[in-house]
Amino acid sequence: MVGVEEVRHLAHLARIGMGDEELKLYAGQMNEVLAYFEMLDELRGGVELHRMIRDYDEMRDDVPCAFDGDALSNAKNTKGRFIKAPRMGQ
Amino acid sequence: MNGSADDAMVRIGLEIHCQLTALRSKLFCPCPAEYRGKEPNTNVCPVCLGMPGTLPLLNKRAVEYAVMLALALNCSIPERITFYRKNYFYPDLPKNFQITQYNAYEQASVGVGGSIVLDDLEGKRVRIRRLQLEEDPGRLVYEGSIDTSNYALVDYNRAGVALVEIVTEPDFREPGEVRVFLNMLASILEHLGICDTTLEGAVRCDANVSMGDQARVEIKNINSFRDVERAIAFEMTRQRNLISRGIEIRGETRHWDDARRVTVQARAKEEEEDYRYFPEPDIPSIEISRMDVEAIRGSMPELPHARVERFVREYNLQRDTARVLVGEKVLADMLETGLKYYNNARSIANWIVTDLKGYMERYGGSGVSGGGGNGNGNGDGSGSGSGSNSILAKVTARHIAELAMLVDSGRINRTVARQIMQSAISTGILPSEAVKSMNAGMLSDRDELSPIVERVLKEERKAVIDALSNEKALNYLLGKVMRYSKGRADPRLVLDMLRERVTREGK
Repeated sequence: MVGVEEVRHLAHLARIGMGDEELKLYAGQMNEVLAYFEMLDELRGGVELHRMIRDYDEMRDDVPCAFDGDALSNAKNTKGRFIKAPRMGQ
Repeated sequence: MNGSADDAMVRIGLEIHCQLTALRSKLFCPCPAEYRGKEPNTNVCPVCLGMPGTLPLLNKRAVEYAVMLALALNCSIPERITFYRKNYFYPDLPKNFQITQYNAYEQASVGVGGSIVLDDLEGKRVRIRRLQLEEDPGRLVYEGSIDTSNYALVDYNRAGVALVEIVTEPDFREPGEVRVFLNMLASILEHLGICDTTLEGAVRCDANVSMGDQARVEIKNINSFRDVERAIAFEMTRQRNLISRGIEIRGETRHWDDARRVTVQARAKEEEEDYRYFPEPDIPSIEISRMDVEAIRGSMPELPHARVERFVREYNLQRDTARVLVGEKVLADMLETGLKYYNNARSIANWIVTDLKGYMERYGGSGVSGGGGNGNGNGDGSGSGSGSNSILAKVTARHIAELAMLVDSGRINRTVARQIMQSAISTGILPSEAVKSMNAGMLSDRDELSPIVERVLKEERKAVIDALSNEKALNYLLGKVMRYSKGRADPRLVLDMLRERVTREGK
């Protein structure tokens, strides 16, 4: 069971401020999501984790190509060409 | 635990981040890898900014270089490598996660379980826990200082540049050992040609220190190799003080403050589980066949250890001399290039190791930059070594070879040679040219030297009398002659002449 304190910790890690009501709401929703995943427990053993696999030769060649556009043109908080972000404290 | 601070076993481990500066594009997108000197946020694309709907594509050469380094550090290379997402929220990470590697669930990073033997530490073996590929975060800039600025300015040009992270076991016992290891690593990186360690921020180092059974303290934000030693030494003293007062060491992350030369408490850091590592779903695992590994091994250039052996064998150099040269690849290369101009390895090596290296250390020192000051210690390093670089921009292998040849053939003496070296450092003039223009050919003609010797004998009567009973006073007189001849006099001949004249006076 996910409790309010656990959600508070996650919110802190994600740097999201949450009120007590929200914490309760999300704790409830997370428990519903986790309960849904419990269906996986019905699987018997012998199931391998599936991973996409590629051969060494299928990787991208090291050829540079500058992006032709301004990917950050929608950024709101800027100073000159810099993006402004909150100062990270303790 | 208390009172045993001095005896407590010190364990020091390192986490070193090396940019693969020889790459032309970033790790997961084709943005140019060269971000230095560019306008902020002009070296970015939707992939390295982590915009929705984009797909990272792994750079094959980055894997190749990482495998090379892993092999050089005697790691084993797993048959399959996988990438992970390391989740943390910090403005230098546009995606809020870093694509990195993690050894869990039978998935592995590029290299595991290596070791390196340090000849300069009597064959001490340092174990390498793992070597992994990951992306560099962006760069944070603060106006004024980090403490007074109200916001951070972010430049994502560096975000996505390929890094190799090397994690050692805590096998170091004192700061000096760390220095030897880092120098060796820098030499390996230079010999492999995958990382230019002289570039600002290309190599960054974090350290962790623990004493006895006390908790481990991580130190970040170390800006140079020299500061790694200082930071560790400070941290050892700090911990010993606490332990001797019976205070338990807290596991924490501390920052190195290079202005005050102390470590200071950093923000509370996430615990390992808080990173919520999970396999990166957008990047398939890569199979690295044994054939691939052997092909990469076969393409690797000569490594420092082998080069030292070859220098001893082929050029008959002293092992210590060979080690000093190979310790800085540029010096070892200088020797081998110099041989084209003058085929006397021992003589050239001697000039490089004693004279040139002396100048390099005096004018700025060689070394590698380091440091990290942001979310996960992948921060900026401030470069060093520009002084020695500027010397090497002027003094080439040909300069050293010519100098060695001019001295060995007796055309100039060492005093003049040093003067020529000095002018080569400031102007880049070739010694053969300098000899012509300075008219510095050695004065070894008795008739030419005689007036100078006579002048000194006349001016330095007291020394002449001393010299009758004390051979050392002759050296003083020789010094005078050298000065009046602007260093051009053949010292052996002058000494003979002085001895003859003084003996004659004594009769």
